[in-house]
Amino acid sequence: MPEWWLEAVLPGVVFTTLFIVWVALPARSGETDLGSKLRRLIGGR
Amino acid sequence: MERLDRGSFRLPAFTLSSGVAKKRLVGLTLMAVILGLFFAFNRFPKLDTVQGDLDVVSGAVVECFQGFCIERAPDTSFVARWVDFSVTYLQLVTVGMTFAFLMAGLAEAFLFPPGSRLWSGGGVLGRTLKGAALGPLMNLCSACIVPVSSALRRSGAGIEGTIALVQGSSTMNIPALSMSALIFAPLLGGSRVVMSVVGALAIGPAVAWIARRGHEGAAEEASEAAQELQNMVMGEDLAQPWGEAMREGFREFARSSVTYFFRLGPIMAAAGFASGLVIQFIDPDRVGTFVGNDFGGVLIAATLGILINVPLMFEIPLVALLLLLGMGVAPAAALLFAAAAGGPVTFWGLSRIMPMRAMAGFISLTWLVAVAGGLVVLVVALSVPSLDWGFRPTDDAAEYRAAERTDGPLWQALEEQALEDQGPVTGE
Repeated sequence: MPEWWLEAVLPGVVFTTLFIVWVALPARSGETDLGSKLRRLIGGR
Repeated sequence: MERLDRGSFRLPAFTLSSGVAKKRLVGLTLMAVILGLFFAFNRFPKLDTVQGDLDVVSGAVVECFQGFCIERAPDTSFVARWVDFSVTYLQLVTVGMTFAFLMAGLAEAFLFPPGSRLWSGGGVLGRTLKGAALGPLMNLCSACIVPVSSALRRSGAGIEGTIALVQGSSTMNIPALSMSALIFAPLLGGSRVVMSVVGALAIGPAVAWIARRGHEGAAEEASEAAQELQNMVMGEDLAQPWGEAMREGFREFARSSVTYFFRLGPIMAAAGFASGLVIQFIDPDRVGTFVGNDFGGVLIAATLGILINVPLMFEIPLVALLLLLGMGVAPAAALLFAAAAGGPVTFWGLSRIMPMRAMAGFISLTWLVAVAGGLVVLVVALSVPSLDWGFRPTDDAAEYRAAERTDGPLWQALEEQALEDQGPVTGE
């Protein structure tokens, strides 16, 4: 395993997980952002 | 407030009816967990790393430390050295940056969510003190602290609180201060402590004052007042169920952290390369000439300091190495502060949340504090020239000073020693 594996894996895992959380959790009514748009696109509504 | 009996004591029962209070409680818990992990797996081991770097720079042959090689191998090009240093720098700050983006999201979503009034109160002095107190707890370099300071700026910290946080974290953190005090002689170590305190407490309010004098600053002040009024109208007492508050908080935490990562990450990487380029111009053969114990040396060191970004505490082995190569104690004091206090990444990142007038003030004042500190050290060092003000009198430092007195410049002595060790060159 390369020396820099932690530096590559840590931010990758953390920010991918957070991005999923952003898309998965519903926004407040009337609030529109990238996460809510993707959620509508994936959910088909 | 409701109270519960516990034997003879009466403890207050905290009412967590409002969404802000619930978010803040969860935010503080998350902060304790993230901070604990960060310190255990990154900050405490870093003390050993810096100690190892100091052993490297005081060894017989100076090797590379944290990607910085003072000795230039003939087969490596300037570009290769620059890229190597910049990539190593980015590797070193990645964990700190990840922590910083998470803390920025945490601050916006949980600690100071919309409707929160905790940060913005207290006037200029109060906001400065809060920033200066929170900074050392964050314990991040001047680049990594940018996302956190951006989040707090949006939460009402004002220019003064934002800059106090940056300075408190990058220069006034306890590990760097204690390590400086342990390694360097009291004049140099003490100058770092004094400059850090002055930087954390005085630069922020001064920059805020400069910003308010401009049209941009006045407009911003009006906008901040409107934001504060809106927060007061929204109130901290608005009741919100746990489920809704947590869903809202975690979504905002994720959105904010990811947005900071994409908004600031590429800029920081680019500025890291810019900073890496500047540090390549440090030439061991010219250290004594350009940064000797004089006024010009202080100016050059302070300017170099604000042109580079370094990982947390990197400035300590860097200054130790340059002292051994002939740098004067006065420029060393200026560099020890300025290298930690800010650099291209810091200034570029903060320029997105502050007016240009404020940024110009911040850069100038950081440089001025470094120059002023360096000049005070210069006056003291020149007043008592018989004392060595650079290192604490340890065996290693004493050996090097003895070597320099006997054999001339240290670098030359080391090279001669290396040649002698290789034995005489025999012809055919």
